[in-house]
Amino acid sequence: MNYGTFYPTNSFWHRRDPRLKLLVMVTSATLTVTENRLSGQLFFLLVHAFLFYSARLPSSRAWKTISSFRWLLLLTFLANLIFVSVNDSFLYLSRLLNLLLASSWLLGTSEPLTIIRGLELIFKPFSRWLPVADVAMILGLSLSFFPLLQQEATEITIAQRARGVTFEGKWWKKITGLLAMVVPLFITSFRRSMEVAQAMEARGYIPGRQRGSLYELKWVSQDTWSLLLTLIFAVLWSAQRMLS
Amino acid sequence: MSWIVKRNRTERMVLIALFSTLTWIGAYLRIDFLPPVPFTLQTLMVIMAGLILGARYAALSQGIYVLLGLIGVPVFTQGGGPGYLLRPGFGFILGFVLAAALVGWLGSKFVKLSFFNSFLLSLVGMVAIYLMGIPYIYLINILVLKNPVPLLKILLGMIPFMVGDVIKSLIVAGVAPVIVERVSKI
Repeated sequence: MNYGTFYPTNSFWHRRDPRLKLLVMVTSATLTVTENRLSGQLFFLLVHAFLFYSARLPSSRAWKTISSFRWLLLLTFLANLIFVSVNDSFLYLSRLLNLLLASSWLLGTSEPLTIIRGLELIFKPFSRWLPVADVAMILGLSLSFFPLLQQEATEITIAQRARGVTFEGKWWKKITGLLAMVVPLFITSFRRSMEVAQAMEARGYIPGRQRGSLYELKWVSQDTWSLLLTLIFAVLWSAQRMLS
Repeated sequence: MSWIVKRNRTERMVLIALFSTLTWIGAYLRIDFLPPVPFTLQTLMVIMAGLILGARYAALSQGIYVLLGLIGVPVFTQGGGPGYLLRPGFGFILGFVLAAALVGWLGSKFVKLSFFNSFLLSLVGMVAIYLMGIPYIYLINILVLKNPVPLLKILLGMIPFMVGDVIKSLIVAGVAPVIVERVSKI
């Protein structure tokens, strides 16, 4: 299922392991947040533009992300321009743009389910202290519940309309209409979840037991090279920043 | 509260997932009756999570909701993605975790849920949301502006929203006991 953030195409970055992409994004975000020179931020903008280009993501996606944050960006730019300096206003603006582009790149190239799987594998060493596998399972369940509940809500709305509940008009009518939907929504969704739990157990699901995946992630040599290049870049960049 | 204790682990996991999804659906169930203040059913879902799941699982369900949003599923009112961390309003979403935990913890002290009890619990939940939300606005302030707006001014700007939340709490108090009672029979 596509939630509107993933851009399905076949590019170098789409084929990469989600673990790699998560690590690249974390590295890029750390470098961006700690970079205090305008020249550095502008260089990162170029890097992110290159990432976008090599992932075959259309530039309209970048604009969409940016425009949904336009108020924050505008406020940051203007407030710094008026109260601080021209240099700082561009610095803070480009820092925000860099963070937005990095996240948009990750989401454009990886589906939510593969990101969940990637996170699960990254945090696996900590599973003695954190319920990593359980959390991944709950995330996946929650994703698949959404269309179900949405449909349920629509059906209840129609049923309540038939009983004479209105959802328009004065504000108290809207509130009572909404509430006439919420109570049945709770009851039916609880019944459904109990059925889901039963169905899972009937198919042999045991919480906490090692679980396979239909599409196992494969870490290939290209992933290793990309990760190495990213780390070398991060180390070199930090070194030159410390020296300058 | 005693209801969740009787569920096995798989059922609990499914219910935690259900509440993350309910908070997600709640973002879409909105009406604007006091125009600048959006009225969504998210806070109702958060408080119901606390009342039904208890502190620990409720906090987990809301934490999962936040996580879903951060990995790019459009679960928040204006979408999702790690970029949401930069939105000043993100703290209010983090507040859901604290609110669910507090409501769950305090709710377990009541033997029976009445209108008045639920109203108080709902208010506690709302306060918890502001407790995370307002400092977060301040934090984003520092990140994006060199001269941040003082904390007190942010607090004053929140007053119209707080009035809206008291009205919301009344509505939550009206439904919460009904839902808890009906669900405990399933």
